[in-house]
Amino acid sequence: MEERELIDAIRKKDEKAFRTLMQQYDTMAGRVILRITSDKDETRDLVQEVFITVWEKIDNFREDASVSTWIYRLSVNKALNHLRWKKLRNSLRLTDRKTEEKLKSSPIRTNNDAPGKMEREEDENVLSKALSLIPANQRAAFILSKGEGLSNPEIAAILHISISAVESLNFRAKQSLSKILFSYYNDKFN
Amino acid sequence: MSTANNCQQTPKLLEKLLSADAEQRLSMQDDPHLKQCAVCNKTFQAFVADFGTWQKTGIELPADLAEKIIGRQVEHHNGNKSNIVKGMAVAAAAVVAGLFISHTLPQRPEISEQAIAIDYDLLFSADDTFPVEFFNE
Repeated sequence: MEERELIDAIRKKDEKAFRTLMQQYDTMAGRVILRITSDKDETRDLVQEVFITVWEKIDNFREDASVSTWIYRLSVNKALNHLRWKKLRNSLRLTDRKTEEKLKSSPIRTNNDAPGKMEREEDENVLSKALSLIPANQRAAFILSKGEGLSNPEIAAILHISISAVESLNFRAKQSLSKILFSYYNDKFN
Repeated sequence: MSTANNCQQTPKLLEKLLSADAEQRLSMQDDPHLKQCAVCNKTFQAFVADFGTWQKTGIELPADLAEKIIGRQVEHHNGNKSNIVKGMAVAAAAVVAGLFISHTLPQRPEISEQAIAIDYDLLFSADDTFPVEFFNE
């Protein structure tokens, strides 16, 4: 079944067509989300959210872009929104803790209270860790470029930004990553 | 082979590696500097291995993900249908109850200025400075 036929069938709520589409793109969505969030548990939920959106909002899909571009965009957006919420939650928790600490007048802070502490299953790869330290927009551009092998015009279409903005994001991402990796390898080998 | 612990070319090497595609990375192996600098060589080998692992990043997704989503949609649709039916029943019951109450309960007496004044123990005739603002609070 061609992509256009597949989309038409899903618009008519054809479950078989939806399963076919998921088989084609769920690994890709999972890979992108995992690389952005570094959180395996959340990735499973976010992939589900991506395809819930596809199933429910297929009528909103304008065929001026390919399905893969749309699914990439949904995946990146879900992952970045998740990170925003996580950051907000962490900062709120931190505010709560500061208030609690003031009330208790306790100077002791345990490791369990460290901000941004990852409580879930995470990717331990060096590059993943380095990526988690750079800004989310640079991370997304780098992941789509080097992880997915997409061209700058394709990334621009996914992220809804200009090609020169993609180039700039990728340039800055590589600079930031090389500094972080240099520091890491330098510690490791010296 | 250089025995130095640091090499000023390592950051540049990393930048180059981060920009390179698989083919370019492979051809970098023949770089004369890499052959003579132990630090850059180690960094190169480590980066290639780490990048390879990162590129294989993947996740096992539940096999029944599509079924879950389709099932959720059907549930949502059925839920909406039953909510509409429930809503209509509640609205009809509310209208019937309203009509019943309005016919059975005694009519509320009309509130006069005099009645308000009595309620608040104030009489118009006795007090010309009735605290109008009181009701605006």
